[in-house]
Amino acid sequence: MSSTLKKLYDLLVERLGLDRLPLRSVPYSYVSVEFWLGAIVAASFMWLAISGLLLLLYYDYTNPAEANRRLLESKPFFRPLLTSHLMAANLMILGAVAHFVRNFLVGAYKKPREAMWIVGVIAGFLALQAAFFGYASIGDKIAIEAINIGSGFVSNSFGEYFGKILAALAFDVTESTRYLRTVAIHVAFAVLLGVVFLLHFILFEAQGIHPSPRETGWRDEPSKIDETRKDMAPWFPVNLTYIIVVTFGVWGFIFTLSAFLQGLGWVHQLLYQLPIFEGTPEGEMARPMPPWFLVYAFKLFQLTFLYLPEPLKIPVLGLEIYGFSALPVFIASFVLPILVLAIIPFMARRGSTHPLDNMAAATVLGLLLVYLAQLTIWGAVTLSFHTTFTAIVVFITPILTLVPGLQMLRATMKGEDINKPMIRFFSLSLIAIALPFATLIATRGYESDTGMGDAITGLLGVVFSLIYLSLIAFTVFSGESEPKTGEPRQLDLPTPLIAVAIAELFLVLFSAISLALINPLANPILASALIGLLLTSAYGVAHIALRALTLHGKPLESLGSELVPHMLVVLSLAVLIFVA
Amino acid sequence: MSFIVRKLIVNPKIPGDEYLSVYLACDRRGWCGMGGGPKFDRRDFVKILGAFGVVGAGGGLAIPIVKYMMPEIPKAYSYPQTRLVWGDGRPVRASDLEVNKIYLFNYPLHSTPNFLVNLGDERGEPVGVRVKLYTNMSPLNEEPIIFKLGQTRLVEFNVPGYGREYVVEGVGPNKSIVAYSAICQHFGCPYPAMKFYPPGQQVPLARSELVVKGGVIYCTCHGGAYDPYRGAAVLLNPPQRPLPFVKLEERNGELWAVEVLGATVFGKFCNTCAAEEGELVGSETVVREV
Repeated sequence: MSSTLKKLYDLLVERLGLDRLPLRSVPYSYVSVEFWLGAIVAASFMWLAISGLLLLLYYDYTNPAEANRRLLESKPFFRPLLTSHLMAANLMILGAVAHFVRNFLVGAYKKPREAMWIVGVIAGFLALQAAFFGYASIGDKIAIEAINIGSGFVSNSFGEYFGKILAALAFDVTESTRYLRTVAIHVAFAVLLGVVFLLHFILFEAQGIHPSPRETGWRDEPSKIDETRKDMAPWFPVNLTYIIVVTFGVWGFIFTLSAFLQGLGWVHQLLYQLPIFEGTPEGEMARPMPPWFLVYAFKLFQLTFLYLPEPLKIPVLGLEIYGFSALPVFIASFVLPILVLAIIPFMARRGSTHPLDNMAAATVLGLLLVYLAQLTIWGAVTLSFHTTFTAIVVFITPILTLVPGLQMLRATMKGEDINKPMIRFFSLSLIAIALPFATLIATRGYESDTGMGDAITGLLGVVFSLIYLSLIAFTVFSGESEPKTGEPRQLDLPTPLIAVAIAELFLVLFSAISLALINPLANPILASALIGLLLTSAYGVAHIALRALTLHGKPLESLGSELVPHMLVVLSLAVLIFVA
Repeated sequence: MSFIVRKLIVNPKIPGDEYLSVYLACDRRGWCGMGGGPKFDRRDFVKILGAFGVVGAGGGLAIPIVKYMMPEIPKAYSYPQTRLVWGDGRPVRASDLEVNKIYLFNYPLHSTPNFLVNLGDERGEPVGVRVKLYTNMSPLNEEPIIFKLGQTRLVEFNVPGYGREYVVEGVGPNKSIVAYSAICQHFGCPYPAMKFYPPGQQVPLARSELVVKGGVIYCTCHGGAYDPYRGAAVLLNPPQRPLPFVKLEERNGELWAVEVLGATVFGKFCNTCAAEEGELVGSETVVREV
């Protein structure tokens, strides 16, 4: 860096106060994706806000389906923008799930971070609400069904009278202004979500990052990082650079994945990226099914034994209000999961952040996750009704596998005799595997798709439980390795990494020029892929710049592991070649 | 439970003190009041007043916000008196309607379809209907009544329920022609997801043995079932309101739709609420065969 540039840089840092911002910094070894899953969610949210405001410029509430159809054909870059908005929503919810599972596994939900956990759960709930009103605003076949089912759901859950008022508040009563209301509520939920996000960040600033179990040995004290330790990376420039790196990586991934799925075309309704219009081949194939993150509720709606057998009669202000038949379904789909998540911090035991030392919380959370996964697959593959008995089998198989599995893992960790827990785990799991088959034979379920779907879902209960158990086992046993110390420090980047940076910079230029030259209306998928490549290669260059900043705190590893983050650029390039 | 309550309201630092107010009046050091006793000074009082004021103002804004957000409910028009006609303009007569065949027409709005059925038994003999029922009811969890009729040609029945009472009565020479809303009362699935299966016609994907032999209006969306021979009373949950009944009249041998009785058509604030009169069907509505 020439001395003039250096002077300018120092002046900027000094005048802007960048080196003494009142923001939490983290140790160098924490600058990795494991500790930054929340940043993935935040970056997706940021893209949702940006693309959402851009989409709003052309939103036509009088006939959004027709407007979308027209804009997709006539407005340059409308299709990459719309598909990226939808993909960012998917990625944000996926990222949020990963974020909270990880924070559970390492015990970051415990004292003093209970409030942060609960605010996070509220943010998740608001995200689902915002997402619902978002896809209800598209005006396509799915949106029409969403509004229909949504209004039916509230009127059956809260009594006919209040239900009608709620439905009118959410979806209007005149169709000509309906979508203005849904889009306004969508934006309102997004803004509210932003406020709750901010609160989540403020709480992070209050408590700092949760210390890695590798350092604490799974003890819950100290619960905070010692700010005076020597390996703290300064917020500026390290933390800020990593935020930029993650943001570009996430944005690039959004466009890349969206381009890939658009290139695949119609594989399954849940993977289809464009609005599904009536009167098209897709409209013929589509079932009234919500996006994947609400399929679990869609499946719960079909479990008819969850509805009240008789309507309730509740006297309010001299009126008799009837109905409430769907109230148990409402509680099962939107109240219970949130309540269970919110009380997780209070089920924890003192002393250890280890999931196997907090068995109640680990069991409840595990079952919740497995049930949600089961219901999602169940809803995606079967559209039909189930007897109470087959449904009980579906919900019992995870209990038979997960509970003894956790006990076995705990015995292994404690070094106790594991023969008994192991025998119990294997025998109960065998029963769990046998149960769906037995039900299949007893109810002659093999004769229908529904019976087969039920059996498969029952078996998936075992599979998902095993995945959860291996997640816990992986976290536990990978946490035991000691951090590497005393290695010779190399303070310069090797030539291959610099070559990669130059190549990625070239890719930035290449994709920028290509984007200017291509016809985005004729090649909308190519446009998505190019934007993806543009952003991921910028991410790649920025990542190497970050390594230059963190070298003295985080020593260089083998070239192979240093190149792992750049696989995202390779992925984008591969997708570009695939769609071109 | 009492342990939790004690923990919440008892200040452990003051033996014998069991009042929330004492706990609130203590400072962080556990130092309570001037003389160490249970004392609430003016400043504490005002702090609590302030907190209540802010919370109260927040809550007070909720009602104006909801009132502002509440959309204007469109005007409820009176029910149109509508003549049922075929696609070519001929009026529909009771004798035109084949037994157990599904016909559709829109009434009272262009957006609200209804079934028109000349109900009959398995042999195709018409079966009349005169049923008293209510706008809300518990699902009957029974077979459709058509299989228990024997030689009777008229179903006279009282379905127990709640809410407003109304009577479903068929028209035509056998009182067997009825019309019900073709939108399910559960989540609003319309025809063809919900349709009439004549007695003897197998119901595909039926979720219960009770309805598998037909004689029902069955909705494949969530498995709700109605008995058209008992005024579309609910046979299987999840719905808990009978299908709205379109009252028909025979005038000079022609069929007219005159009113909708029973529960409100699904998804509508009221049956004839419309932004403009053009949304109502007017003096004629076309009956389609399906």
